[in-house]
Amino acid sequence: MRIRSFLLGLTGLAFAFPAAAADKATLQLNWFHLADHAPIYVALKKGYYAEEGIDLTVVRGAGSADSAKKVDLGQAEFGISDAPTVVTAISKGANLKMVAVVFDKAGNNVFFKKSANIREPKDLIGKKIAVPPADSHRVLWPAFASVNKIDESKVTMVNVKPEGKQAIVAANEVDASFDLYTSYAIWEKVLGKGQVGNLLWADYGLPIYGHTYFVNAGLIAKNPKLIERFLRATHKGWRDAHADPAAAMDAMTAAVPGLDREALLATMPQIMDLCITERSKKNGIGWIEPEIMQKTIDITYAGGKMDRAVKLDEAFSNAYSSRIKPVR
Amino acid sequence: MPGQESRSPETSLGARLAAAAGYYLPSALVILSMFLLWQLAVELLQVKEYILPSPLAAFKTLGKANYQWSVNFLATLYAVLGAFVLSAILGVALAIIIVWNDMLMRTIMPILVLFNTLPKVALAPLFVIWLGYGVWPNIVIGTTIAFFPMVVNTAVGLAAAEPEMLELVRALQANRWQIFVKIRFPNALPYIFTGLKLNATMSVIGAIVGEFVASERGLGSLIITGGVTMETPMIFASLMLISALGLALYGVVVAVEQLVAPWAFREEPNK
Repeated sequence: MRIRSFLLGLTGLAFAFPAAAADKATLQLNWFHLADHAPIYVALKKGYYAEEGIDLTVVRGAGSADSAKKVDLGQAEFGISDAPTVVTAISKGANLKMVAVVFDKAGNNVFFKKSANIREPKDLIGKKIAVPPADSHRVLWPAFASVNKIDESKVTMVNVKPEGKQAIVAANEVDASFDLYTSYAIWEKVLGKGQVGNLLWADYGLPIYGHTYFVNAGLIAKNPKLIERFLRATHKGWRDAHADPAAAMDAMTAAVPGLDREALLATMPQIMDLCITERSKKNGIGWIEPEIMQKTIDITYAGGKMDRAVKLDEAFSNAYSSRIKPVR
Repeated sequence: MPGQESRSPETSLGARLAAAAGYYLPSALVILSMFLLWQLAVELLQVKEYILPSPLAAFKTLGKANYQWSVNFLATLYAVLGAFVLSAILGVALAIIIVWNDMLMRTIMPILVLFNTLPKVALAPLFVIWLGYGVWPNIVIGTTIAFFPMVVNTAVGLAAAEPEMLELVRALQANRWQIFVKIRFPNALPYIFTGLKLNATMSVIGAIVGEFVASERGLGSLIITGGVTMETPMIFASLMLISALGLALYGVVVAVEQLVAPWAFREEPNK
């Protein structure tokens, strides 16, 4: 009897506060879980999303193009994708808008064995390079080549599954591989400590944006506050992960089974290098600099895969920026 | 009443072609109306091209030079043909060994079944590490996928010779070799062709699996690239070429079967 009335009371409560029901939202990741997703799990664990009234589901990804498509089709409210992929999708009619960057400095990068004697981009001429097709290096390569005066036809691109890029370099089948700087630790694991050489594209004339958070533009009309709340919670997660990377990694490995905690934690310094910069200290984490976005669009357009040029205000908005700054 | 139902040898080539055309007319009509329906659905529902292009849009990309269709098509064709031929030789050879000796059958067959249960998509990245990438590794990957139905079908065919017939020729002092050439092998021909038909389609799948893992060129390589750059019409154009390639190879097998083992061809509809 008592239990029954208690339950009835609970039901009454639920009806009494319908406004307390959280907004359900889905975040479509760009890829399977990597260290740069740990901040999201810290935010989940510390209840930052709950505080903002968001019931967040995180879905692992299958490449930037795939998450762009899913958000366009309304299967997720938020997505993470390469900026070049998002603008390409917009040029093909996808209804998307970028609302923050994940990294202030793009992690586009080339890895090779130190013994390969590659010291500057020009040394790539005549080499074979494994290019994982599920990221934007292929789109950005023509621009990187032209900035560095490399004849594209003198570098051979080899399509390779993303999981296989370290192995194919280790086996000397190719000389180098385009891969994000954030996977440095995985490369060190395969090629050996002190054996990994790399060139970060941002250091060689290609200041562009890589991963960004984006939404279906329909959400801007329907629930713009949700975007602001989502970014605030997410960036609190980044702030905390920057202050304590190990705790962030614990939050993710506790929530997602089967992750290699040590390998992921080892990439955290590189990830924070790309995310927390002078610019993000000034404007807040995730702030989008219009000139860099413009450059990103121009370079992508020059790559020839966009159906039309996309205007800057079509591509992004800072209106929902969290303005949250790193602790140090 | 001999010869009443059998095909008269005088039937002209033209008449036979017409008969063949009539034979395939229903399937041609169905395929054509499927394309029509697809075209109409895309236009009426205004589906975005990067989500699902119309068949016409896909056809049009076949005229675009930047995709280097002939280079990519040939790369895939070589891998498919290589896998097909290698699977056929390896499959028939293994089947003969298996049927030759009961001990070998008991030893080899479980290993083959075990190997066939391994998902080749998961194995393919390892092949790249061991063999590198290119046409040869793709032929190997295609062969690992396509040879199994060849072995099983051929072995069944070789083993299925009528026991009375075998006893008769043994009574007539035929040796194993003679039994094999005159009884077992002809008896297995229809089964071998069934294996070849499966092989034809699976070699295509195998070659594409290989290209998905690592490749410089090929239709599978185009599909992978198109998925990232959202060139969906090009993906569908590649798929059309792949289907055409599979269909053509299958057609060649059927045609050869008609020449070599016409009796087998007539039994086919029951399969």
